[in-house]
Amino acid sequence: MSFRIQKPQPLLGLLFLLLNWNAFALESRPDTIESLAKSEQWLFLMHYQPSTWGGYKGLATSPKFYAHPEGRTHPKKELQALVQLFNEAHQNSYKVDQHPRCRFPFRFKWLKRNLKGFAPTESPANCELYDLYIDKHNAKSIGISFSSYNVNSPSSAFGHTLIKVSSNKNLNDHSKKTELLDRGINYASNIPDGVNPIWYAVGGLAGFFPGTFSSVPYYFKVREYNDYEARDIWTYHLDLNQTEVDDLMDQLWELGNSPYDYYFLTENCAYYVLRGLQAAVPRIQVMDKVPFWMIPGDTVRALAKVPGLVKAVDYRPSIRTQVFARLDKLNPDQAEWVKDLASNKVNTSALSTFSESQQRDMLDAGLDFIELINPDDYYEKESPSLKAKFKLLQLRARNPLETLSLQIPLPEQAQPDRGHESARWGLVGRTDTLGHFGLGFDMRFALHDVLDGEVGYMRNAGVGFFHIEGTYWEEQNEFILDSFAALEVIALPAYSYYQPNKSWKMIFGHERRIDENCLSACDLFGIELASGRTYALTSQEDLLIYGLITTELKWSRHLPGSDFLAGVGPDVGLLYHWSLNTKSILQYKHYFYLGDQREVYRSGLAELRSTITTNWSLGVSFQNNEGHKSVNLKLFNYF
Amino acid sequence: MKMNLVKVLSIVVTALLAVSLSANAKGKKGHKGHKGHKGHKHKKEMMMDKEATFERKYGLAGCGLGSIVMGKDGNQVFAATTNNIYGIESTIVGITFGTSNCTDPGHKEWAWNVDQFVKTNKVTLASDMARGSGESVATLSQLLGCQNSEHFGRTMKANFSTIFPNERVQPMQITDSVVNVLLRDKELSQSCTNVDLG
Repeated sequence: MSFRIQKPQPLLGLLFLLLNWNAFALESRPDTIESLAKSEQWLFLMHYQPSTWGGYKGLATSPKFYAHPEGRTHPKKELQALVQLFNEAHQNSYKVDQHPRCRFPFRFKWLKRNLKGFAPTESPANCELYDLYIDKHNAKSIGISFSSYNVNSPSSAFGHTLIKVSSNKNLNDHSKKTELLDRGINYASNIPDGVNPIWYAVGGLAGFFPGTFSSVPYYFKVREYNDYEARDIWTYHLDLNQTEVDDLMDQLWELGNSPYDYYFLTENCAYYVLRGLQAAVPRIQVMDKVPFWMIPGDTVRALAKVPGLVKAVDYRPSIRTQVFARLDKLNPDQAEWVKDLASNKVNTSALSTFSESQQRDMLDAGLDFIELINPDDYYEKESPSLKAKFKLLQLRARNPLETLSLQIPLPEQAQPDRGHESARWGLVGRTDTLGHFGLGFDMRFALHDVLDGEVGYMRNAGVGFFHIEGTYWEEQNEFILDSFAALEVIALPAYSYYQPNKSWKMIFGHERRIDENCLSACDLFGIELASGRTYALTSQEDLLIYGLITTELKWSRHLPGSDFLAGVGPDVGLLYHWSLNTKSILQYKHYFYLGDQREVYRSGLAELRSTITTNWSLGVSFQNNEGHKSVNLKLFNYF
Repeated sequence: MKMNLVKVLSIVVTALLAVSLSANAKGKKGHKGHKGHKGHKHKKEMMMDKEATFERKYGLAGCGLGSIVMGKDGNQVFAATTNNIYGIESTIVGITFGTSNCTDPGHKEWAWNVDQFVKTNKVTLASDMARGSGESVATLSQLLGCQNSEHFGRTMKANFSTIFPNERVQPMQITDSVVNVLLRDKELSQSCTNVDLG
């Protein structure tokens, strides 16, 4: 995996400024081909990046994106060729959509604004597709939509962002057009059908799947995220003037005409959304507000950091949120009736014992409930739940009462820009029963675990990417790598009638272990998988108990006998939410290995963590791994 | 010997768990959508319907964005996982928008828009029509150019059983019935200005 620097180095920029001070002093802005070719804006709008071997390389992989055959690696040649292309356009005849003004409308505008003496002879351009694109979007306002984290899907564990284009100038002016008829411009990787999740993760990291832009009706995204995947959607409305909106649309048009290498962690949807925005609207300096790895949550935090940019935040509750809002209005008897719908039982005679308005509320809740638990009915043609739902629909159509409109207030604690930053480092003070003292470090590139502050994130779930833990033991003067998890996922949603959720865990990576079989410690590599259930013990769901069956399959050179280790056993625990910011966990894992000389491996953990400010948290834990006990004091910073 | 057996067993358990989890990760979406291609049946049902059906010069999946996003097979709206949707949706901004897939330019834009909308929103639309109001009904009313979306919603509710005669009703049938219903309504037949049957 390669991490690259995505933004021009500030120091280099300063150096450049100093070296070119005279040029700047004479002209208030760069306006010759020479100076423009070096300008940050040109590098940005062409999506050049400093390349590993010096010089630049464009992110767009298609030669059609460039005017010069070597344009991808030569910003200056590219600019010269582009200017020439525009200047000579009137001498050539182009097929429909091939005129340079159709292909590069934003570059054309930009040159007119910035290059002194740029005034190509007018020539007619027949831009059918471009005109259609502009006409259909009729862009008047722009929002960035973020669909919340969903750990159950590998492609959306980190959330997703897309650009929402509306033809309504004002946010809530839906008199002419409802929000559903807006459009979503989406950047995503093209994954061939049937790719398995592991290959998806690996290939996505390595950039094997090219990414492209597409524009879809916003209703498609609403149905997909809100209903089918039951994820809340947050939209950040941007305060842009009409010129900026037009520029962004033109910039996206140019971006949209080439595929790109898609990297999960760096060059993903979040990255291109922000890049396109800054390329089109240079006053929005967002790229310096994000880390060089980037996930969708970083997008909204970066936008929120630009003063005055976000004029409003909109919340669109998922079908799950709607169901619970409707269920809240029911009395226990009514709720009981709705529960039965889980088994596709529509008890008409029981329904008739309720008053007409009660029936309405039950049917309204039931319709959404049956949709929530049977998402596959979106494409299924025949199923018991479709039949049950159809019965509900008929009953509802016969009930004359109007639906009570759902007022779901925006849940501020879940607003994604208010959460902690996505990466985390920490210092750990460690002491074991022998009185040794160790200084530990903890680094995680993304994103969240169940004990981190919940604001802006999910509850009872976590997903971690590249989590490294190590300790320096003072006495032995030795540095030890304790663990490295390439990927760790934990999902402990409470199981209920309404939501028969499965709980699961996965850890893929390295772990150092000391037990009977590894007296001098073993470095184990492999995977741990667990599956089971979580139950809420209180109605507030702040105390949860979980029980999973966990398995592990690991490899190590240090094991006596075989190099492989396979174990199975229980993983049980208690999770308590003291508040949004303070959480604790009690956990016990017990592995049986019935092979070779190995017997069991037991590990217990008690941990309390409290978020002090958004990006700082403190924790204390007690760990007992096969009798090797330690007390740890942790300080974390999110960045 | 015995120990090896146990080891093999644990490996099998781990593998099974991995498979079940990855199935879970796919969100149960799998490929159930491909189950049986009974989609053709609805054509016959439509022919037997006494109501007028509106001739379309295109198949529902014939052209434009919808076919790209949703696939040619009518039952795939969300059959694919997110990734698969993106896989199908492989065309770029410039091209996704247009009529590039459309072999016959003679279609009516409003009807095409309504068909696409109904197809994607079918599940929600059914609930909202049964309730007589809601965002999807209001949006459909806008697509048809109707001036009074509340009256539109009430009319849809009153005619629910005509529009949704059974749970297997297909999107194009829904569009046809909606148009038939509003043509029979005095106010809507006047006010829904996008409906152009010419």
